[in-house]
Amino acid sequence: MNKLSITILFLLTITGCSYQMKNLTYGDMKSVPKDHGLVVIGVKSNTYFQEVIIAGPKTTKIDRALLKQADPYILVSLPAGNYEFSTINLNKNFYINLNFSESTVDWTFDIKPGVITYVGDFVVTSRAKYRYYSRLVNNSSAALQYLEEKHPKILEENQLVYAGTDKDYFFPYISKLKGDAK
Amino acid sequence: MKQFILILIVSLFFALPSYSGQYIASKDIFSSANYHSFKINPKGNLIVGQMNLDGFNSLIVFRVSDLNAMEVFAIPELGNTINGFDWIDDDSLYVSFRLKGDLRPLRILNLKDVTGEIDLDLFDLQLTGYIVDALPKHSDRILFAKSHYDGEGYSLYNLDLTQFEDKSRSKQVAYARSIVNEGLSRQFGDAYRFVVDENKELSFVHELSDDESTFHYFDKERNEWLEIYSISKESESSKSNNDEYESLVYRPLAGIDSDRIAVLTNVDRDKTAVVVFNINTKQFEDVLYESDYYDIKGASWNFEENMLDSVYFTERGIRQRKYFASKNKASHQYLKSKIKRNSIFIIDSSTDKRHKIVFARDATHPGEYFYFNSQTKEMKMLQSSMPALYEHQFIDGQYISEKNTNNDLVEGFLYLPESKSKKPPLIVMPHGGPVGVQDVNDFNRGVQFLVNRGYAVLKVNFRGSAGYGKAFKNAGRGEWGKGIEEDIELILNKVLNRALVDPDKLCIYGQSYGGYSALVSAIHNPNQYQCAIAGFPVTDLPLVFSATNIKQIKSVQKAIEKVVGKIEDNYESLIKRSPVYNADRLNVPVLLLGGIRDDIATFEHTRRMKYMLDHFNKDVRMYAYNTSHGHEFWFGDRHHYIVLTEFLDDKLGIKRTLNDNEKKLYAEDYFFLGGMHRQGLYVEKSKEKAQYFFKKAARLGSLEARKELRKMGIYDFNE
Repeated sequence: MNKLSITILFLLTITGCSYQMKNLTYGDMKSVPKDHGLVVIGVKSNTYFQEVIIAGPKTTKIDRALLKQADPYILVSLPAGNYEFSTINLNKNFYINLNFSESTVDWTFDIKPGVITYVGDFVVTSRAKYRYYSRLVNNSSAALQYLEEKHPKILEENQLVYAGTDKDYFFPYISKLKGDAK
Repeated sequence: MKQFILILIVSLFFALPSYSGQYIASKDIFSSANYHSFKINPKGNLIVGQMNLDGFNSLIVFRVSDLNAMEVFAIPELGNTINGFDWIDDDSLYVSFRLKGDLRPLRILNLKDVTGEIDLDLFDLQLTGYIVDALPKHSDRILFAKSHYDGEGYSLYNLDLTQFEDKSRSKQVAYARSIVNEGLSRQFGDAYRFVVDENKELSFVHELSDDESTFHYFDKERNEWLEIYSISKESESSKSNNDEYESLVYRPLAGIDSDRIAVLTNVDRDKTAVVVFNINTKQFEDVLYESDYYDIKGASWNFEENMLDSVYFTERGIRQRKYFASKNKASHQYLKSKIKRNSIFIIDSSTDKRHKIVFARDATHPGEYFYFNSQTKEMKMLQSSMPALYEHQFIDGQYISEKNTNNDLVEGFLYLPESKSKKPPLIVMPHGGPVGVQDVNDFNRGVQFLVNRGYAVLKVNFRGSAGYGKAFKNAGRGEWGKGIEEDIELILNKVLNRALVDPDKLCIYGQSYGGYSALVSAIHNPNQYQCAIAGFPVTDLPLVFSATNIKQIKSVQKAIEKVVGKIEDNYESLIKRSPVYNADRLNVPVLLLGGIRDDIATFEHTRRMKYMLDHFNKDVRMYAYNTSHGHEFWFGDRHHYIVLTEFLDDKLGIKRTLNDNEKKLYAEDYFFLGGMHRQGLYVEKSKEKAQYFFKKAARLGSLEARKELRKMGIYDFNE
C-alpha cells in the first residue's frame, strides 16, 4: 500500500526544541496552564530511533527519555495550536523527513485547551535496511482504556477527543453513553 | 549443490504418518501442500515438481519410465520461497527463488545422463527480471524480460544461455550491458507483460503505467508494431457505468489474421468473454466464447488449428476448463471418465502433445497429479498434493441457488457432514471482500475441518461477489448490512426449508467482511443465530476511513468509498450499520479473532467491539494474533480453528463422546495451544490461557500437559 519514500541525508539532526514535554499525573493538573491542552500519544516501533520532532507553536519532541515513561501511552500537555509530526531522527546522522514535497499524508493535528486530545499511535516500522513505513494509527479504544486505568480522574474531568478526523464516532458515542448513564 | 538424494516416491508416500480415525488432526489439514506444480520436459520423459517436506522447499525430477524421483534443488522452507521453475529444454531447468525475502539470481540446472542416477551441473544467471518463455523447443535459449536499470519496466531478450554459463558475475553483467540494444522490445519504456506466438516470437506487448494501460501488436505483414488498444484511468472515470479502471480486463490471446486478434475482455460488456477484436477499426466483433452467468477467467489459443483451445471458468462453484481443439478435447473427455473428480486440468504437455501432466481436484480432495500418455492411454498417479490427507473422506458441496430482489441468481454451497442420526448444527460462512471475492466449491481446509467436526457449512456468493459479471459485482458496493445480508438470508432460508440442519443450532462465522457480516447478521436476526464469530473483522464503518492517516489520503478514501459508500453522504447510515454502535443489541455469544498488525481491518475494529460488548456485559471471548489480515503461519490457522470449534461446541451445546484416538488428538491440539500461550508465540502470553488449555489437554489424558501444569505448581487439573 503506502510506502513513504524517505529522505535520508548525511546531516546532523535539527536541534533546538523549544518545549519539553513531560508525562503527567493527576497531581500535575493544577500546574497545566489554561492555554494548554492535554495530549495522549502512543509510539510503537520495531526499530530504534532517537526522537520524533513535532513542529508547532512550540516545537517539541518525543525522545527516548519520554518514551521510557510510556505505559503504553504518554499523557502530556502542549500549548493550544496546530502541530505536525515533522521528522524522525533515527540517530545523530540520519533522519526521515515526514513532510517531503510529494507526500500526501497528513501529519497535522490540533490541540485545544481544556480537552484531552488523542493524537493517535505514531508507528514506525522498518521493513528492510533504510526502508521505513510510518503512519498514525487510530487506536482510540486502547487510549481510552489507558486513561480509564491510569488516569480515571483526569478522564472524568476532561472531554476526550480524537485529533485525526471529526468523522470518527467512537469518543462521541462513549461520551453519549456516559451522559445517558448519568 | 552437488548432493542428490534418490527417493523412491512410492516408499516415501507410504512412510508418511497418517491418521485413520474419525477426526482429522488439525496439524495435518492446516499445512502446506507437500507436492505441486508438476511440469513435463519437451521430450516427455522427465517430470519436475515442487516438494515441501521436512522443512525444505525442493524440486524433484521424476523419470516417467519408472517414476523414480531425484531431488535436484532444495532450500530451507522458513523464510525462503521457490517463485518459479520450468524446463528450458529436455535436460535443463531454471529455478527462480528468494532467500530471506531477497530475489536471488536465476539458477540454471543442467541434468546430465538421466538414464541412471542423475548428475547435475548448475550456474547462476546474474540478471534481474523474469522468464517469459523457457523456449523448450530451442536448446539453451530463453525469452527473458530483463528489468531496466532504473527498475521501471522491462526489455525482452532471446538469450543464449551458453553465453553466460562459464562467465563470472561481473563478466555476465558486462555481457548483458553489451546486448542492451538487442532487446526485442526496446521501444516500449513501460513494458510490463509480453505475449509470444506459436513460434515463440513476440506478438503483444502490454505497457502499464499508474494511470494508463496500452497494448501493442506486431503486424508481421507490415513488419511494424501497432498500438491496438489503450485504457486510461481518466477516460474510464468520465464514464458513468461505475467501472473501475483496475477491474477492466483486456488480455490479448493471439492474432487470428492480419486484421483480427482474440482477446479475453470485459470492456464494453458485462461478463468477461473471449471476443474477436479488429485492430483496424478498434471494434469488438464476434464473441468466440461467453457464458450466460459467469466470467471467463482464462483462455488459451491453439496455434496449430488457429482456434480457441480452451477456456477456464467457475460454473456452479466448480472450477473447470473446457477444451475445444481436437487433441486436448478428446484427452480431457477420456480423463473425465477415468478420474472421478469435478475439476480436471491438463496442466502441461510434451512438444508432441502425447505426454501430459494432469491435475485433478475438487471439494473432496486437495489434489492429485497424474502422468497421462494420450496415445497409449497409460495413466500413472505421480503424487497426492497432501499425502497425509489421502485416506480421509471429505465432503462435496451441494449447489443451492435463488434469485434475489435484483433478479440476479445468488449461488450457495452447502456442506453436510456424513449422515448422523441427528440433524447437524449449521455454520453460515460469508466470505470477505465483499466486492470482487468469490467462494468456490473446491477443497477448503477450514470448511472441511468444521464438517469433519460435525458441523454443516453454508457459503454464499452474495451480490458483490466476483465471477458473475460487472453488474453483479457492482451491486454489492455500499450494501454493507443491507442487500448483501439479504442475499445470505435468502440462501439460508432455502437451506432451512429443506430441513437438512438443526434450525436451533445456527452460528455465523466469517473473516474480514465476513466477520462484519457475522456480527451485523446476529444483530439484525436476534432469534436466528445462537452465536457469532468474527475473524479480522470490520466492526465500525466510519473507522474504515479513519483507521490511519494513510487511509485519509484522497485516493485511498476514494477507493474505500467504492466499496463501503461515501462517508460524507452516509455518515449516519454507516454508524447505524456498525456493530460497534449496536453492541447493546447483540444478544448472542461472540468470539472475536483479530490481527494486531492488520493494516486492512486494523486491530482497533476488534478491540472496539470487545470494549463495547464488555461495556454491555455481553458474552464475548477475544484472541489477538501477532499477524496482519489473516494468518501468516499454519500454526495460526490451527489455533484459530481449534478455539473456534471449542467455542462452537460450547455455545451450541455439542457434547462429544471421544474414543481413545480422538481424545489423543484433542489433547494434542489443546497442549499445542497451551504451549503457544505459555511462550507468547504468535498469541498473547498468558499464564491463565496456558493453564486453561493445558488443563483441557490433561483431562483428556495428556501426560505432557500434566507435566507442564505440575511445573507451574498445579496438581488439580479440573477447571
